[in-house]
Amino acid sequence: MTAEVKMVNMKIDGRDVTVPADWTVIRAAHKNDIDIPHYCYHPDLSIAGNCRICMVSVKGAPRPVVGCATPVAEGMEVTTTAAAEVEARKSVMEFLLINHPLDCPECDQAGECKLQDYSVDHGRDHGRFHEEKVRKSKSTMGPHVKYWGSRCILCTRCVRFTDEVSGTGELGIIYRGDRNEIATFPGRVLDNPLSMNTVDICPVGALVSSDFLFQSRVWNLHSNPSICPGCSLGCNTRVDLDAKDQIKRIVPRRNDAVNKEWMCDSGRLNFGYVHAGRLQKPKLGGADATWKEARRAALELLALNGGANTVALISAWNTSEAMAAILDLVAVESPAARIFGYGNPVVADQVFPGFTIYGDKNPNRAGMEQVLGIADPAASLKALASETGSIGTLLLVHNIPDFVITPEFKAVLDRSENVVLLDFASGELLRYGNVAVALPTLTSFEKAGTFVNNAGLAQSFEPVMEPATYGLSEAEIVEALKRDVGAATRAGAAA
Amino acid sequence: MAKMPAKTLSSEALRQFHDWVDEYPNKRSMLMMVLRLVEEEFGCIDDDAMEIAADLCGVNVAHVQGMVTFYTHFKRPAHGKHRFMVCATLMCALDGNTDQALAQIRAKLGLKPGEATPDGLFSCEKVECLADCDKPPVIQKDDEHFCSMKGPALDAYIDKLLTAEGKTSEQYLAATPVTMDLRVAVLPVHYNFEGEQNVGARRFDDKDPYFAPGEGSENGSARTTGVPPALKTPLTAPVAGGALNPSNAGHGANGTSGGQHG
Amino acid sequence: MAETTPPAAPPAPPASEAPKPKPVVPFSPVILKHIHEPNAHTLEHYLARGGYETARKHVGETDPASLVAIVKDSGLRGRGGAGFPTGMKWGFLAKGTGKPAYLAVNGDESEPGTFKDRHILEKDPHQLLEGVILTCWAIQSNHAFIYLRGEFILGYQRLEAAVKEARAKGFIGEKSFGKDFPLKVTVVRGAGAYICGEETGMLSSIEGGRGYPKIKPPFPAVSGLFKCPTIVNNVETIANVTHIVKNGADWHKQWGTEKSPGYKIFCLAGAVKKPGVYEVPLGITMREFIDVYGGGMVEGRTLKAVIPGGLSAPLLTPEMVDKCTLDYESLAGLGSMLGSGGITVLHDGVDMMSAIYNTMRFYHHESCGQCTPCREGTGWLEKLAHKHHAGHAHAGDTDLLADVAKNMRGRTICVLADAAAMPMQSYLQLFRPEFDKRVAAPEYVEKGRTARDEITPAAKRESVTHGAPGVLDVGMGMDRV
Repeated sequence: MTAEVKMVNMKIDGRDVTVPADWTVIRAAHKNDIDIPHYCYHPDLSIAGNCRICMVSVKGAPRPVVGCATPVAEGMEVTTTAAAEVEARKSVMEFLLINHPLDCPECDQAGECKLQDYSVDHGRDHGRFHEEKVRKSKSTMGPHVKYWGSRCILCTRCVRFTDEVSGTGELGIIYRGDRNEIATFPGRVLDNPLSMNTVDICPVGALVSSDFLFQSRVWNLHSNPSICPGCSLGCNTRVDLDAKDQIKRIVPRRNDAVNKEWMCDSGRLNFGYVHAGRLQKPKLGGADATWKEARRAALELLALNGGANTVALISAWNTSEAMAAILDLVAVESPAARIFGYGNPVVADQVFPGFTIYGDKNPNRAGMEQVLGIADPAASLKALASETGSIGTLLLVHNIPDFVITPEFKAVLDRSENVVLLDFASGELLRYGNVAVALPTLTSFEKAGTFVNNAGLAQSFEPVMEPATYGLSEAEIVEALKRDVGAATRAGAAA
Repeated sequence: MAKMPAKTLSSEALRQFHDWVDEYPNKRSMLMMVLRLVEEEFGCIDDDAMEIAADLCGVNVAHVQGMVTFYTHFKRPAHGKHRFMVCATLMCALDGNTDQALAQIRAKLGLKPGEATPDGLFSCEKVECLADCDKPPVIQKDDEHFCSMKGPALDAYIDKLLTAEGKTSEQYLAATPVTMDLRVAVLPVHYNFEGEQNVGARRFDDKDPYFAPGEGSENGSARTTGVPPALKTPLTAPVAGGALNPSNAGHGANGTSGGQHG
Repeated sequence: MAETTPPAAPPAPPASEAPKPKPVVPFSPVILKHIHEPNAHTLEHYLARGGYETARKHVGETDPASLVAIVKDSGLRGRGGAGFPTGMKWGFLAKGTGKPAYLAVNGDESEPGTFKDRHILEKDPHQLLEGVILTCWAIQSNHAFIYLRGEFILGYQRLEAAVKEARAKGFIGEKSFGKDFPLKVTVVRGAGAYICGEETGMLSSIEGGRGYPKIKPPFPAVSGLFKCPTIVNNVETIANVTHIVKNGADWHKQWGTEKSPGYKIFCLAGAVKKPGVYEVPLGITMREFIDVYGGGMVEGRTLKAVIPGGLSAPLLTPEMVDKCTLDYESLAGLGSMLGSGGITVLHDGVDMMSAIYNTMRFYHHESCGQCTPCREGTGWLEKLAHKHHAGHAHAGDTDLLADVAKNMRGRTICVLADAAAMPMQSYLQLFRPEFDKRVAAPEYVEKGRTARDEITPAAKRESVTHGAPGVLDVGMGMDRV
């Protein structure tokens, strides 16, 4: 809190709290770990005040008020558990459920549904509604989002999201009263690059992800925190995996300093490379080899002429730790080698009113600057590509999924007599004839590391899953190589 | 009514719009009146008209759709050319006045509330209070307001309309009326987008385990009558500055959905 | 469409011909004085009876604060329904905000049973306009919006014409009455939404949105239209301003009671001989109003109940009617409200279950759907009322009705939920035996009167009258969708 912010003292449930004067009661309560149930309230969206579940009693007010729209005031006394608001919440909970289909067994949201949670906490133990429920449409909102109208509680979070954060405004409320639905205009779809955030902020199972639909019950998933490698922002993520350690979905994790609670669709969906198309065996001249053979071959190539004609080309998708390990290796094995960087080409930023998808599709460009001193990977690659003459050995530390080989990159490859490739994918690069040795590595989901984002924030992460048995992290590979060097030296000394 | 081709506003309407630009504090606040303008211009508010209104007022067309479906007095394509609105609120309904008026309309045109004649000329609906409660039943026919509209007065009025349209009551009584569908066309839940990439998890395909097409609508027919064309249109930002090109106003290349419109 | 109205309607009895009540000071209609004269809506007619003289005298001359003081002194209370003192409301207008102030005149007149504003708008629009000009000068607003419900087509045409005439005459414009007072008057049409009669719902609609009421506080006087300070007044309230400014606060206070001074237009509908609009001093008895002005009950009918202030007002039984006087306090004391002044008389043949079902259908249809209790509760009430109406109710459903109505009250952004719950609670309180009679009553089931399609798909849709010519089963307004 800066000194300029005026603070007020108030009481919530008898606890003295001090909060900025421009806050609302619900924010003050949440800040102080006092739970007030809420559906329509979202800290990053405007206040709608329509779900009416966040009822609190304010001393002096004749009846409960909504916490989300009530500003705090000096000396205010708020209760969240007195009879009046408990009764109010109970009735609101009942109203929310009367036209709800109660189709939890077939609903994707079950298990992480606010209706379920609050029904247990604040609702009745039985229903009193025996009339026919209002039925609403089920529709496809966009490529990644589907809508189950009957489950919708009309909190309008999604509408406010498209108005305020993505600014694309595809969604609107149609009809009136309990016929209200969320809809796009005919012929328009919810296809902005942030569309799946609406699924996250939907407190119920109304907006569901087409990609996760019927994939798993959420209680069968386990979750681990991670960092999205998709761009230089480094969105904080939560990776949900099933019992077989297969990634089922990636959702944003709140970090106000980085991504708030948002994330782009491509970041969520780009995890297919973890489970498919992996390099499963070390390769030696295009054929499978043992780790020992591959390591020996790699060492020989790297040590040619003391590394005088060796180039280490490191992508900006590597963790800072991997880059440091490679530096370490080069220092030991080929001290004369030169180091260059490269990365995904930078495209234009996609700027939305409340979020920016950065065009720098490299998660660790800033880390590369810190560790390798290469500020601009593209310029570095360009400098290397503009040289003439052949490269004896190219140590290529890749680890970029879906990499499109640029002419510059191709020129470097073509000039290299031998390429030692460190990559997790069995992709296009392997088919280059001059890839002499390929060593399988791990994706960023399987190893610990650090990405430094475009604001200079270093974000470390742990593996979210058991690493693939066939890959090793760069640090482990380097360690093994160094062990090999030591063994060879000892053997040479013995001889 | 059949889907109309691209529409443009007449120059008088545009002049009226530009008069309002000076009058209102911002363009969005003109929306109610602009919707009236396009309603008057095109006879009803269909998807094209909504897009024109959205362009004029600089708002998202989804919002305009929300407005048009919220306010029940706007004339939609499903409504008949002659739209009978019969007040059904308590003051009119007392002593059976509303029912008498409805019965007379049914006897003349074969229409129950919520129905339109197959040729789209007449439609009948119940509305809420029309604020002339001392003289029930109150009926509004498009822009005309009638009090104590039952008995010979109502019959004579319908006959007058029938004569003007060259129709007879018997024709309509023999025909099967259509139910007015004022719903918004939506993409079916099993719709697949063209060019979807198999990234991430499994695709959601049309093997929808829970919902057969058409289920969920009240009358059992499919909610959406056709699958819209491939949706590759980039989101068009609302036109700012009011410069509306009459040649393509409100009629983007994306076409419109195959939704049902009466 | 003046020519087409009303083809078969008997002309409304001129209010001036109605027998005089017996207050100390004789009263003759003020606002409705000229509505029965032909061409009363024209500028010539209005100018000929001294129109715009009051505005000409005060705009640009009188201290605005003194006008506010006159209105405050007069005790004029809002005629839209809430009855909030108008002068006090004007005093709340936030000043020195650096933002423009707006006047928003509420002509949505959506409360069923109310049709007074229609007469002002259609037959004397210049009277309203002069009130608008004076009010704008008093609150120092340079832009007034007049919001009319979409169904007022003649009213819109005449008001729009009146604004054009006044603009041409220089009464409004860059220099109103030649003084340094720019004033714009904008007429906005609604399109069929009861909720736009709620003041903030109307503001949302003027702003080009769905008619969603806004969270209060902040009240419109602080942050209303376009987030600027806004005064919202009913058409009748604004029409009163001219007369009060012209004649003084004491003139206004010579009628009415101490807390409800002045006169008001009441709308009388239902089972009386002479329904219509009547302008009477506040404080006359309800009996006098019904028997003298309304000409008494229609032949062969006795009074069963009175809806005193629009559909949402709790009912009055004949005993309560005897005790009731037409002022805000008396009706509040009887647990009801004066509301918008729409008085509907129900006769002994009215089936109360039909009436409450119709009422609940109205609120279900008109709930904007923003707040949960109202969105879901109005539909639930309607379905339960329908069950009672159709004779399908189970034991316990009547108590459930009471509980649902109670749960809806005071938990929403605007008062529509209360407006729906209040009549239900009142019907339950006053006519509980009729509810109980319908609980699983075999004779109703035998008639084949099953629930409507929406509730029981195989239902028969024929309308059946209950007994004597009561309220017919008018079904559900929703079948338009």
